[in-house]
Amino acid sequence: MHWFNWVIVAGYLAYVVGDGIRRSKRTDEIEGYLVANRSLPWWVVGLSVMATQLSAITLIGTTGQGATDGMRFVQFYFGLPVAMVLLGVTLVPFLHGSRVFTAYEYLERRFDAKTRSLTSVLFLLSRGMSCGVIIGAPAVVFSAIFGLNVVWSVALIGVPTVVYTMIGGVQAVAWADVKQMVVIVMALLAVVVVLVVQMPVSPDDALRIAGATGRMQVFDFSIDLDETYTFWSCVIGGTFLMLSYFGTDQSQVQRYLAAKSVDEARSSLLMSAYWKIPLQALILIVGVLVFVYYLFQTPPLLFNPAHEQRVRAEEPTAYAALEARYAEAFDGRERAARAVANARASGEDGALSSAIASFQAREAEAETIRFEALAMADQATGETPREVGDAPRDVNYIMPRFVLNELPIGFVGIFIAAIMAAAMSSVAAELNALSSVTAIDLYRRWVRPQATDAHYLFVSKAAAGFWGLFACIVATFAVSLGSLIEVVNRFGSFFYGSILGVFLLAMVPWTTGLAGFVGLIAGMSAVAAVNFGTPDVSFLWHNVVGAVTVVVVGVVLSTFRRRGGEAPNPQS
Amino acid sequence: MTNGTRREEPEGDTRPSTFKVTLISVMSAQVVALVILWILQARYGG
Repeated sequence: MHWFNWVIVAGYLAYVVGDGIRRSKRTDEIEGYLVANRSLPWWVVGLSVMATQLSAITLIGTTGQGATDGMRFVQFYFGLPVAMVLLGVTLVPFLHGSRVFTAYEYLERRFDAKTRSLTSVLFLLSRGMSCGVIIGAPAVVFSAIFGLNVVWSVALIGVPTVVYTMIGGVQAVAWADVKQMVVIVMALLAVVVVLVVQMPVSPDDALRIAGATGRMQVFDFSIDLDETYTFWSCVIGGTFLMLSYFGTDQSQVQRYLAAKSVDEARSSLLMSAYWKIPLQALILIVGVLVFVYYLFQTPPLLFNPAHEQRVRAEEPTAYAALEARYAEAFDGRERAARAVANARASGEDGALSSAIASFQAREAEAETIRFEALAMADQATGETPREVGDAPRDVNYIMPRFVLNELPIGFVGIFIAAIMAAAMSSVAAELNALSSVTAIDLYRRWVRPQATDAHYLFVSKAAAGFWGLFACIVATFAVSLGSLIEVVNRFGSFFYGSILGVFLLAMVPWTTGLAGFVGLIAGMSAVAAVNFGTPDVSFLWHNVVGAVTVVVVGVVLSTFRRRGGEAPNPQS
Repeated sequence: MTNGTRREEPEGDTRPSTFKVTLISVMSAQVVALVILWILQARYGG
């Protein structure tokens, strides 16, 4: 990468850390450090909520998904707006109004200490690991693209984030998120402009060509529980997932606990309700345009440069032959793509249909060759061979390779800074949340309930440092153990819906602490049964199963105990 | 700690009318987003 791009990246990192330290001036008390003295305006909280959810995986993985699979993934966010409205009238007023530091603290006030502690520990386990994955995913890409050692890549993202989070607390994190969100949106818009300017066909023709490969297909109304992203799984399962994530995950709850008032907290969530779908559509459109761009500009046969190098070294003859075939297929596909644009300009329907059919045949031919190349890479790296229809393993490398090879100097630096911004904003929020839960829900609750404010502040900062180190260690392992990412995601989906169920149960007046605890165990067991019994069912449905089981078991148990004449919630 | 039958008093306005207005405005925005995506799919998807 050109030195000027590195200057932009270094300048950005120095600015974020410096600004974080500057923000630490008003965080010398635990209330300031953990919830910014409940003083942040709605737009800062709203941008922070959006930046937290938009990780580097979104920026590089989702654009790659747009390039390989098209717009379909935008359905994933269809449940978000209604979830935000529901949270605005249910959990947000309760959590903000009860002046808690963490979402789980509220569970003890409503239920009992064991329900609070169990949810806190589940959160720490899941988020501690996923924090490592959030650092590890872009680190592995940086490592392959820049030829950096993995440990350095992890440190490049992890160390500055840990420093400003430890020192500045939620205030530094939220204000850094605002700037990071601006950098991310600017970088995406810059890429769109560059793509439109450099593309040899008009944007209208580009989308028509992408549509011929199915990439502009947004809606899937099929009723298939095994299909991950259908309209129904995303609207129903997605709503539960979003309710759980934004309503009960401390990394999100902590954002709106820092808002000035309930109304400001609510408004901050509505920002996501209005802007999340357009933002995701923009990210996917960028990917789709990158796909079209590579119809006219020879793309690498393998986007992961490390894999490309390895295959080239191990099977030079076979790979060279494959590259020659790919070059020929590329020429044919390019001509066919131009024919689609010309046929459209001529306005003849018959000519357009036949040009599209020809282009589809050429695209299938190029894809077959790429499938063979990916199989060679799997063999060289010892990965399990993928099946036809599986996403290509180099999907996360498409965008970084495009940025490095095709964007002008300066734009590259901005985009790499944006990837780092996306990773850092998500990691900082997680570290903030992990330190709050460790200090408030475990340390203050069980170890030293009566210590001074300064002591808890010190423990919170130490916990942020500890979890930062833990995440960096997990990240270096996640890089070498690809399947760890899947394990972490599956582990999280085991109890995400169940925790939402406990919070929903808390809003039913007569439910008891025991019912909450038993319901939580029952919910997680039900999800485990569905997961192991019918492994093909989309994980989005796990959230529905978990939440509904907790509520049903909790309500039935509480009703039964009440009829039995027992007092509700004896521990409170 | 509160009793199990007692709920925390929420701050702010949670009246059904406010909820309806918010719900209608957010859902309207979503419908607009879905219609735009639908138009994109209809124009380019097939």
